[in-house]
Amino acid sequence: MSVFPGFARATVVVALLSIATASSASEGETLYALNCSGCHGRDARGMPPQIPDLRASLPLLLSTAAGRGYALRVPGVAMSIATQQQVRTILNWMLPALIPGGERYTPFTLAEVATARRSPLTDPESARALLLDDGYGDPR
Amino acid sequence: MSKFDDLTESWTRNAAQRRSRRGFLARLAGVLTATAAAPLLPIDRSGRANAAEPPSQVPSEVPSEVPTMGASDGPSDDPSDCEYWRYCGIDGYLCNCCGGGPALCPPGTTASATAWVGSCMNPADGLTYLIAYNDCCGTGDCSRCECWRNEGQTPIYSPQRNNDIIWCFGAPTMLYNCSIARVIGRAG
Repeated sequence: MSVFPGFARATVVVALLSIATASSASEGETLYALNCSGCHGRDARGMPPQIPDLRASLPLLLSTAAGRGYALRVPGVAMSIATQQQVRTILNWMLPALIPGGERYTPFTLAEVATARRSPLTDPESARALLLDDGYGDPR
Repeated sequence: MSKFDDLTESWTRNAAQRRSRRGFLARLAGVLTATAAAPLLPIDRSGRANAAEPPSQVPSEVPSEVPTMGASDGPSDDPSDCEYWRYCGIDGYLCNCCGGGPALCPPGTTASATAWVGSCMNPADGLTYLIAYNDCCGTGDCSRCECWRNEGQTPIYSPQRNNDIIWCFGAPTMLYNCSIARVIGRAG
């Protein structure tokens, strides 16, 4: 029995992994990187206490209708230069990709994004304080 | 003192008896020529330069030299040149000219934990890569290799993709030194 076939298979696997590593990001991941990751990080970890850890705060917000609306109306989302379609793509990529348990939340619709864009939050800290008690709602 | 004189006299007479004047002059000329030419010899300083770089003053979540994710520099690319492909959206002093590298902060500075993220096309492979532009903070302006390119950046009222901002948020100080361009992936 030759060991070469096993070695060859391993070589093919390594080669495929290399190709996969160099492959391009999905549209959602690219849009997230360009529009969100600069502050929230590639993994949504943020920079507490200045920038919230979305992995912790989004599940809490998305558990209520008001919180879901808040998440769409924060300035970074509602006033983003990304198009409505792109915002939806980003959010619906983020949920399963970055947020623990995010796949169980209903994907965002274009109508939801459009509605939120018409009423961005002017005082997000006060609005947040009504929803979450995680410190980010306190004006600093 | 007489002992010193005797010793010198003995050595001089001994040398005069054993060595020719031409031989002495030839050796002296050789030594002088070698001394003058030594600084002109080629020396590999790259290893020393790399060894002199500090381990990393960059936060752990911001690797000091990110793997290039398949990106390869073109044959004419020069990280000290503002036209280097990764700098298509940069605005500031190039850390490569300030004791750092294209993706490495100089000693004494720390990379910001935040960045503005853009995308640049690598002419070497024709692919577009996501580039994180972190500022290196901690000491005053490097003031070398100023580079101002704005591909993909947005006006100041859209701050998340604006490059006029000092992106030192998350660094110990807001004192800007220079900017780096990290390849963080391939754009989809």
